Amino acid sequence: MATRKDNRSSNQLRSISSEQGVLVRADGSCRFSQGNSQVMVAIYGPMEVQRQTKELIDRAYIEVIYKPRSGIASPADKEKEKYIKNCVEAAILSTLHPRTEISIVVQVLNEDGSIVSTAVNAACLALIDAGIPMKNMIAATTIAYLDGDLILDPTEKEEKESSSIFTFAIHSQSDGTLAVRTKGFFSEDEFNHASEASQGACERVFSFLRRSLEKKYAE
Amino acid sequence: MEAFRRLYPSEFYRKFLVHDIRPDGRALYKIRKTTISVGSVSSADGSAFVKIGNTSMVAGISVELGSVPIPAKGEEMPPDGHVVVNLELLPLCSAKYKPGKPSEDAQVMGEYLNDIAKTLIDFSSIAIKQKSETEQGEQKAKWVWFLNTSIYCINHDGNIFDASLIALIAALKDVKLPVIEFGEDGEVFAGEEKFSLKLLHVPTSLTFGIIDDYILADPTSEEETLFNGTITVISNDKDQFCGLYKTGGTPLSQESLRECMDRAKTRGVHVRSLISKKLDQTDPKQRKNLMSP
Repeated sequence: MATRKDNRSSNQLRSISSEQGVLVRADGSCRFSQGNSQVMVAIYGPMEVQRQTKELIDRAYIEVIYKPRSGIASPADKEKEKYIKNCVEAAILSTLHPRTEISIVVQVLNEDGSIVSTAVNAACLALIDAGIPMKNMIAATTIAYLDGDLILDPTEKEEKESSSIFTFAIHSQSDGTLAVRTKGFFSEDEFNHASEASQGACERVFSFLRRSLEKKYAE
Repeated sequence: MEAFRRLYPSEFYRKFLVHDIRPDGRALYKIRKTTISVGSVSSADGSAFVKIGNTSMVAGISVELGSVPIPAKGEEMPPDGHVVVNLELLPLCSAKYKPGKPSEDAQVMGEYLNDIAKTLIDFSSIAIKQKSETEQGEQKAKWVWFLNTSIYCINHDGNIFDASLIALIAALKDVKLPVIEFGEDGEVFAGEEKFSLKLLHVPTSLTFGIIDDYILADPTSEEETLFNGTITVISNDKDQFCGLYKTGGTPLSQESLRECMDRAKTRGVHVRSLISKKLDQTDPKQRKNLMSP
């Protein structure tokens, strides 16, 4: 296993840190970082639906707004929004709050690779901070193939040189892949290995999420 | 029965799924009839019209030249060409879409198509040979190709993405680029000779939807409203996969994902043979315009 530029082994995640309840005006918030990738998520809701046409009669309308570090949101960011929304939608008990909106605002503070999985993990903690009822927790990891080797949690530099990048999301109560998006070319074997590796990696993220929640509510 | 279908669509569907069949008579993995026609739009430099069941997409390519500045020494040279894909989902094709800014579907699928489009053509092999340098002996700008592709949905009966990708590939194979010649005063014009594009790989996709524990291939628009998740698998002729998108809902096991990938590969073989059959027999005098009813 070749060591990477930051001296990590191929299946080592970067150090994760999080802080909840950071924003005073939001119903819930979380600042989350994986290595140098840092994201701030704010949750507003359940609240009145901003656009009448979006109101759903039997459940809450969940909206994700992804804001890149600089510039305006591009279609690539829209795709990330859709992915994040799909991940959290399955977990939120939206039928408990019909005719309302739950707004998840993701602001990228620093981008250094694996940004979408960082955002999903941050959103999960922020939703718990906001007290939104959820069926289960969600965790995501990014896996890449660099020069034929499988690496976890790539940095931006590693992502640029990779032949393929996968973002897997798993939920805490069952095995199997909840959501996945890919970039680049890969074979079936590479995909299967990445999928297996994602299970272990997401377990580690879950244990971090649980520890940070235990610490917060133990006070 | 029609009332039951409208009032309780999920229940209606489940009654069929239990018997491994769908209301339109298809088996769970059966894909609707796919037809491709190229060169239907005479005003475009390349075009294709694709139907999967009732879903119809038209792709048109217009070839343009643009001048891009050459950066200072040491910086990366800009590419010799771009394929830009614009997917239009207009109110014409479905009640879901309103006029105004592009819907989320259009932006997200457009993004997937653009990601694929970037990998299709090696522009450096067809780069425009610049004429001799200016007086200072250095080139300030170079001419590059812009293949502007617009894909329009004419009828939305589910599974827009698969049809769009086939339309994109077929249109790119149909396009004929002129050989670029330079006049005495440096003006650029298109020569008489034309050449076709050679694609680096031919990707095709297969989209599935998930209802409860059932995975259905090639959903219709009615089925799409019932899904709690979709999977799109994109594979190519080099035995690689170039995209796998599974949106949330129910978690899927490894075996199910593997099965979807295998079916996508089989579908790819069929679609590629359809495309090459269509392009081989296309002769301007023999072109049947599939767009007329």
